[in-house]
Amino acid sequence: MSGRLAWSLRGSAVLAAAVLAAVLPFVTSDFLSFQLARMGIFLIAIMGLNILTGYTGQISIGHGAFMSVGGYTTAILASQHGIPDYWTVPLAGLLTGLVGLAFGVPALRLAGLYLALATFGVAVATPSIEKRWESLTKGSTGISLLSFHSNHWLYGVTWAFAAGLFVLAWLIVHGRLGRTFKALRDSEIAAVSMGVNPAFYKALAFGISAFYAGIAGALYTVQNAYVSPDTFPITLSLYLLIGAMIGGLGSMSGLLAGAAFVEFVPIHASGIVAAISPFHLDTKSAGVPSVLFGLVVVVLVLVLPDGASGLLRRLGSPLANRLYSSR
Amino acid sequence: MVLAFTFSQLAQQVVSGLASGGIYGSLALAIVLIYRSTRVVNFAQGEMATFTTFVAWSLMHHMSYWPAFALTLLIAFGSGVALERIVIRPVERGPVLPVVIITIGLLILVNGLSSWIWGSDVKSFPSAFSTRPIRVAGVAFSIQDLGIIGVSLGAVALLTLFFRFTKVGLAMRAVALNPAESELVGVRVGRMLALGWGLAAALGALSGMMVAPSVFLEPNMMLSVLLYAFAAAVLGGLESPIGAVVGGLVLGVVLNLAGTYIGFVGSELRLAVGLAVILAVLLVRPAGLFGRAVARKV
Amino acid sequence: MSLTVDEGDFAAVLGANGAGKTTMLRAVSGTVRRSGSIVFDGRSIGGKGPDAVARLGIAHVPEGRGTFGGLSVWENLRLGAYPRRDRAGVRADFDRVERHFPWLTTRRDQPAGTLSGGEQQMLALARALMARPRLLMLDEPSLGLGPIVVRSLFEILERLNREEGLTILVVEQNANVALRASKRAYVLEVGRVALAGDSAKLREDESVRHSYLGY
Repeated sequence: MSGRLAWSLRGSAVLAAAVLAAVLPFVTSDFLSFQLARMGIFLIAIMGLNILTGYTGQISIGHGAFMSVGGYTTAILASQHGIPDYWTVPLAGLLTGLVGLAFGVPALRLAGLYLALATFGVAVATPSIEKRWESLTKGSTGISLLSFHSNHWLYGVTWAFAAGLFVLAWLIVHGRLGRTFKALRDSEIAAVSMGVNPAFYKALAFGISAFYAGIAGALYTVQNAYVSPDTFPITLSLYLLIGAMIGGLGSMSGLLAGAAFVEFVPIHASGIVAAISPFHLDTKSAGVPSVLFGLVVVVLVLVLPDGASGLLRRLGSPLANRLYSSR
Repeated sequence: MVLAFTFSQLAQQVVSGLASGGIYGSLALAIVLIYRSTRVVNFAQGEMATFTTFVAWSLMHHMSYWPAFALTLLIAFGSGVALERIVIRPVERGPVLPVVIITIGLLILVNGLSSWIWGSDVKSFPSAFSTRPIRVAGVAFSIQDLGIIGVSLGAVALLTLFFRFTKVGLAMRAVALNPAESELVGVRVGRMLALGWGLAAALGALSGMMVAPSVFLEPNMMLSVLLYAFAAAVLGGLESPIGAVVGGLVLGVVLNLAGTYIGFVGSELRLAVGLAVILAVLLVRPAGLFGRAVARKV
Repeated sequence: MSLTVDEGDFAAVLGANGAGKTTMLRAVSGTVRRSGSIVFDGRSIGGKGPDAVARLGIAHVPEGRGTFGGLSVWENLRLGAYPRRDRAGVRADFDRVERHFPWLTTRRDQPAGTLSGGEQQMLALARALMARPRLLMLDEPSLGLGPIVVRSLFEILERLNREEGLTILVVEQNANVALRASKRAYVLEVGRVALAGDSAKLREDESVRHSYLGY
C-alpha cells in the first residue's frame, strides 16, 4: 500500500472519529457524557505518562500526585481568586509542568525501579501532605468550586483539550524531541556520545508529562466541582500506569484503548462478573471492580507484553503497520 | 517545635518504635528476598500480607491463636510459591517493566479479593501478647511491643540460620548472585525462585499478623506499611537482607521519635517522613547503608 | 559438525577466536539452544536445560571461571556437590580435592572473589570435581593466567585423566599446552571440524601447527 493512500486512510479515519466525537453528546445520555468526559481526562493524563515512560523509559507510579497539583491549583485559583474555571486549566497545567520539571532534576539520578519506588512514595504520601497543609488546601474539608457546568459542556471542553494535546503529543513524539527521547531510552550511552544532554531531556520529559497530568487534574476538579486530599489516591496513579501500559508504551495508537479500559472496566466489572460467573456471587461488593481489573491486567501482560498497539500491529498486519506504526 | 521529654518516655517510644520497626523490617526483608534473586520489586507484597492476615482471622474463629498463626504461615508460603510459578515465571527473565505492571495488577487484584471476601468494614484482630505493661528498670513497657520485637527478630534469626547452614539456603544465595552459574552446578533456579517467593509471602503474613492488632484489620491496612517497608529496604540497601531488618528498626524508631517530639510532624506526616527517607537515601547514597555501591553498568 | 569423546579420553578442541569452540561447549551443557543430536552415555540430552545436564554428570567450567565471588571458598566447593546425596562420598571428595589443591584448606572461609585469577580457576576446577562428574568440560581455562599457573593447571588435568580415568574435554586457545596434556585433538574452523587426530602427532606435524595453530 502506498504511503499516500495510507495517509489519506488515516486522515479520513481521524476525521470520521472527530465528527463522531462532536455529535456524540447530543445522542447519548447525560451520564455517558460524564463518563466519556472522564475517559478524556484519563486519556490526557495517560498521554503525558506515555511520553515519560514509553518514550524516555522513566517509570512513574506517581502521576496521581501531579494530577492533584493541577486539581488544587485550579480549585484555589477559581474559588479564592475568582478566575473562571476554564481559564485556570492551562495555568494549572503550566504550574504542574514546572513542578514536574523540578522533580525531574533529582529523578535523573534514579533509574528504573528506584524511580518507581520514589514515585510510589510520592503518590502515597501526597494526600497526607495535602491534609496537613491546611492553610493552602483547607485540609480534609477540601475546596468546592462555585460554578457547575453541564456534562455535555464538560465533555466538549475535555475532548477539545484532549484533541489539542493529542496533536501536541504527536508533534513532540514524531519530531526531533521524540527522536531524542527514544535515543535516550534505547541507549543512553549512545545518545550521550552524540551530544545529547540526558539531564535536560529527561527532566523535560518529566515536565511535559506533569503538564499533561496537571491539565487532567484540573479538568477532573472542574468536572467534580470539588477537590480534597482523597480525590487522587494511590490507586489512581496505579490505574494511570496500567492504562498507559495497556495502550502500549511508546506508541500513540493504543492510548484510547488504555483510557477506555481505565474508565469503563471498573464501572462495569460487577456486571461482567455477574454475567460470566457460573455460581451466585455477591457481585455488588466493593472489591469486584478491583478483582476484575487486576485480573485483566495480569492476563494482558502475560498474553500481550506490547499492549493494545502491539495487538493491533499483529492483527492488522500490513494495514495496521502502516497506519499505526510510530516507532 | 515542642521538645520536652523524660527518660522513661524516650525509652518507651524507642521500644515501641522498635516494635513497629520489626513489622516494617519483616515486610522489607520479604521485598529484599525477592529483589535479590529476581530484580523484581513485588508491589503486591503488602496486599498479599493483608490477604493472609484475613485468612488468619478466619482461622482464628475455629482454632486458637498459635496453631492458626502457624497454619497461616504455611498457607502464605504455598500461595507465594504458586504465584511465582503461575504468574511471574513467564516474565521473570525479560525486561523489568512488565513484571512491575504484573505486581501492580496483583496489588489491585488481591486488594479487591480481600474486600470481596471479607468486606471492607474494620475488624479487630487478636494479639498474641497481652496489652498489660511490664516494668523493666522502673519503666513501663508494653508486652505486646516486646513480643513483636521478639517474634520479628526470631523470624529473622531462623532465616539467617537457614541461609547460612542449609544446602538449599546456600543454593538460594548462589542464585541471587549468579543464576546462570548456579544452573551449571545443578541448581534448579526456578525452584529456588519459587522458594524465595514462598518465604517472602510467609514473612509478609508475619508482618501483617503483628500489625493487625494495633491498626485493625481492613483491606487497605498494609498500604502505608508497604511504603515504610520500601523506605526500610532502600535505607538498608535493596540487596541486603540485614540492611532491610536494620533499616526497618531504625526507621521505626525515627518515625516514632519524630512523631512524638517534632511538633508539626504529628501523626499525619509520618508517611511524608517515610517518603523523605526514600528520597534522601536514593539521592545521597543509593546503595543504602549496607549495599555495595555499584558503578553504573554500561 | 560432529565430535566424539570416549570414556577416559582427554580431548582438546582448538581453533581461532570465533571458530565456535565456546558455543559448542555451551551447546553440550545446555546453556544455548541447539539443534542436532547430542548423546551422552547413550542418552540424548539435546533438549535438556543446564541444571538437568549437570545432574547427569557433566561438569562445565565456563569461560571466566564462574566462581561465586560473594561466597566463601568452602561454600563454592559445597555447591559443586549440590545434586549429590551421598554424604560420605561428598566428604571423601572434599578430602580428595584438598589433596589436589592443598592451599584450599587454609582459605576455606575466604570470599572467592578475593582470590587471584589462577586460584579462582583452580577453585572452579575443584568445584567441578566435587560433583564427581563423568565428563569434565573446561572453557578456555588458560585465559588471563600466567604460563606457570597454566602449566600446573594442565598438569593437574593430565594427572586426573591418567590416575583417575576422568574424561576431559578442554576448549583452548593455547594450543601448545593443550596438545601436550591431551590425547586427542580437534581443530575447529568456522564451526566445522577441520582436523582431528592424536594430539602428539598433531603437535609434531609442523605444517599443521603453522597453518592451523599459528606456531
